[in-house]
Amino acid sequence: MFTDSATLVLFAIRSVVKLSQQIRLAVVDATRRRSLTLPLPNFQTGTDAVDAESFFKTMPEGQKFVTGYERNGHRIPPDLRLKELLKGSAADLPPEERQELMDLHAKYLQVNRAENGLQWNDHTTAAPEDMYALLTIQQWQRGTDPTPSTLHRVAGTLIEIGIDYAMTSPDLLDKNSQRGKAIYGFLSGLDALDFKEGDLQEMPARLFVAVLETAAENSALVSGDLRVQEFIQVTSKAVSTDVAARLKSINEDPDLDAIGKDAARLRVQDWAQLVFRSTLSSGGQLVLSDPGRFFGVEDTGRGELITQVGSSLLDLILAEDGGLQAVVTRQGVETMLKAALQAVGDHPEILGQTQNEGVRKLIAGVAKDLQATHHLLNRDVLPEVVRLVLENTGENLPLFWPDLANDPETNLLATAAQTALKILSRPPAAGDRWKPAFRSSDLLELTEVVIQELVNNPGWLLDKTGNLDRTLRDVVESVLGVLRARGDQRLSLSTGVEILKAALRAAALRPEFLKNLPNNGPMILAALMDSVIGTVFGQAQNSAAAWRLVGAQTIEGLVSVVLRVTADHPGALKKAALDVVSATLTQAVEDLVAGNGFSLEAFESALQKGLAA
Amino acid sequence: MHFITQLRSRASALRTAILLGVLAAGFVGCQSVNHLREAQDSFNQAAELENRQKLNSFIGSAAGASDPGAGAESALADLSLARSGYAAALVSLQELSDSEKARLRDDQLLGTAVTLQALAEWRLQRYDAALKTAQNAQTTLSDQLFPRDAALLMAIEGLIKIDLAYHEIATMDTNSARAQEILTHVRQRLVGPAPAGETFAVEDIQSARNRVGAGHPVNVYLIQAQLAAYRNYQSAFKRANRTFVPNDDPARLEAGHQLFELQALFDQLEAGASGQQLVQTWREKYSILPKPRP
Repeated sequence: MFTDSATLVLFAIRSVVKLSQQIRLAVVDATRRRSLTLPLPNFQTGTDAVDAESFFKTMPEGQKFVTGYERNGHRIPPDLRLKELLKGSAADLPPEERQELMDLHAKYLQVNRAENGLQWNDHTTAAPEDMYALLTIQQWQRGTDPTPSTLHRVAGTLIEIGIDYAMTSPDLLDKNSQRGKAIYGFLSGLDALDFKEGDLQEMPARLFVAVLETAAENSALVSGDLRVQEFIQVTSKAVSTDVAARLKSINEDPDLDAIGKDAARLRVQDWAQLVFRSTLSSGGQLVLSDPGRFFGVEDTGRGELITQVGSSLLDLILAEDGGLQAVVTRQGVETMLKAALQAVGDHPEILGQTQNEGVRKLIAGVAKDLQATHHLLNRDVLPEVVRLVLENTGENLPLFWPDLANDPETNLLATAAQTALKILSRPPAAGDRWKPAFRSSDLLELTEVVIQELVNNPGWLLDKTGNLDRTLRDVVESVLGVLRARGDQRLSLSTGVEILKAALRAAALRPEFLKNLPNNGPMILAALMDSVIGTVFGQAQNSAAAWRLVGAQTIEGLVSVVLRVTADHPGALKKAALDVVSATLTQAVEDLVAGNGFSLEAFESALQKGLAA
Repeated sequence: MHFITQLRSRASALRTAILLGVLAAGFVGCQSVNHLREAQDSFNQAAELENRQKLNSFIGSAAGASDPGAGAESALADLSLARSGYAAALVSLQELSDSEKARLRDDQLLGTAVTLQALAEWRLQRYDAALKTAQNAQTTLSDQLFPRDAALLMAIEGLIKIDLAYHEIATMDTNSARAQEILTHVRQRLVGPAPAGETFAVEDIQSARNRVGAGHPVNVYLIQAQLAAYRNYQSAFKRANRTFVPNDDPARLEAGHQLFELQALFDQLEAGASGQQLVQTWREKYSILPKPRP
């Protein structure tokens, strides 16, 4: 603990010595690996007439000029002068003919190069500097240098100094404060790691920054609890190990060139940092709320739940096909991670029965399905759908994730969500009057209702074998079909969403709504909707009455009243009762046109009387 | 106010301590390394000058430069400068005190330093010293030698033989009995077979290549040194016999294998047009046909 300036100075000196030792080692490494320009031994570089003679008499690319040859389908005749010069020995030629032979050697070298597609007009195809550079040789073959990079050495030491500093100067951090304890806890966790070793590049520094930033953003979350320190330590180690393995694999990938490798390494580190940060912020709360669940009582496998979830997510994001990189934000990662941690905390078998693949396969399955409706796989929808599915699956794991061990891709809640989303995102047909473009929030609201209604009352959507039957599809398709066919632009998106939600809840409440009218008639629920929406938005409707009825509260109220009242009357869900609904609504409209106003209560009362009769 | 004053005072003390620490650590630890880096700088500059001069002539047209007089003058100036550079490198290395050498050994840099010394001695034609330095290093500093340096020390003897042969060839008369004697000597010294108990240059350099493995970039240099050995033999052959080396001469066949290996190495190292041009120049100017080993 720093009590005076002298202590601070001593600490500074220790730190600087520590840092300068690493910097010095980095300089030593750099000197050892430094490239050396190697001088070629002396040799005869120039050529003479005998070299030219050798070229034309013994090399195929020289002989062709003496004998003639084919080029692009044309016969190139022999060089008769050359032939003449080569009759005897070049050494016996008079000086001027020797020079002539040498000139022909030079000329035909150029011809050869031109024929080979090389532009060698200035005697070089490559810049001379590049050729000199080929004789500047590094100490180690590429990829075999065993010494850590300069950044690697210094980054590790900077972190160690930072940790020492923070741990030995709690006065600056105010150790008694909540945040002081939190940062102390974090740093204690990091202290156990040796960042200098292994092929982690700048990852240690990134993790350090992530820890500090998370501590700053979540001071209420962290508390200096020993479990949190352990959580940080386990997570840091797991991410470091995971990243080191991935970087090693990239470095050894023969299909990647240097630029590709750099890009891949950067991508891994960026996403690993994001997942680490999300794990800290999301996982910390969960660990604190129920440490026993995540760390258990045994020392072995401590924190495995947490690290496996993070690793699975990283796998998905970094998948070879580009994974989820384009569609997941930091917030999305946190959302999925938190939901996944909660789910596996409640049900460790999600990992246990699937060789740690359960979460990864579920998310991958949802993402793959959403890809079919491309605009759905955007930055908002996927993480929220995953969250909804994971959060609710725990309510009845055996029912909703029936064959976890053998078929972890099949989760009934995910299937239900995907079914609803597909129908809702389908483009409108040519004759549709209402053409909604649902926002992500609308879609998620409806998905949440679908999932909740399935959780609350699984029977209405599942068949006898426990699989999702056609009911959900039929309900959403038919009700949305009524809205699209009978509504128009006066029906707002939010009202449409509310009507759909009301319809879904009603369907879950009363199976009678799901029956069809006789003679292959429509589903009763859809028929009721048609009656209400058709009356309100009817083209022959009085404009003043329509103005009053299509208001959001009125139309929502009408739908709500009709569904509630008909549900309350056991005999109401028949064709005759539908006529009563239609007649009551028509009467209410006529009253409105006659200037008697409109009251939802009066309408409900009239409807109840009509159905009772 | 009191708190802020305290903070300022502590920050100032911290800055002073950091400065002192950096200065002290830098002074104590880096002197020997700095000497070595200075020597590396001098050597690299000298070698680049020398290579530039050789390669300009090598990659130029077969008929030579358009102004041979001016080229020769410039080449001499470059060679003179290069010798100064090698000498400067050698001086930097020879000035290392025993304690600095011990420090270099601790840092596993002594092998690098000694390799540089042997190379500088070779280029300054202090062949005995170069050979002795290389042999000592190989026997006493094996724990200090890393791949490139170890290969170079093994190759030094071959490199010296190439230079010695080059000077010997310059003294040859054409087509005389003495010329045949020199040719025999050059063949034994450069491309083999060597007399019993001796080795030839291509063989020495091949040992260095074998030590470092086929994919190491130092092979770019070592293979071209082997080709330079063949080229010198080819020059001696021409002078002695007034004709070219026949196709079936084992040395010519071996040069073809070496050129093939150089081509493969350039492909592996993705050397691009520069590598391609070097291979083509060796092939077309000196009639070496690249061919894989059987």
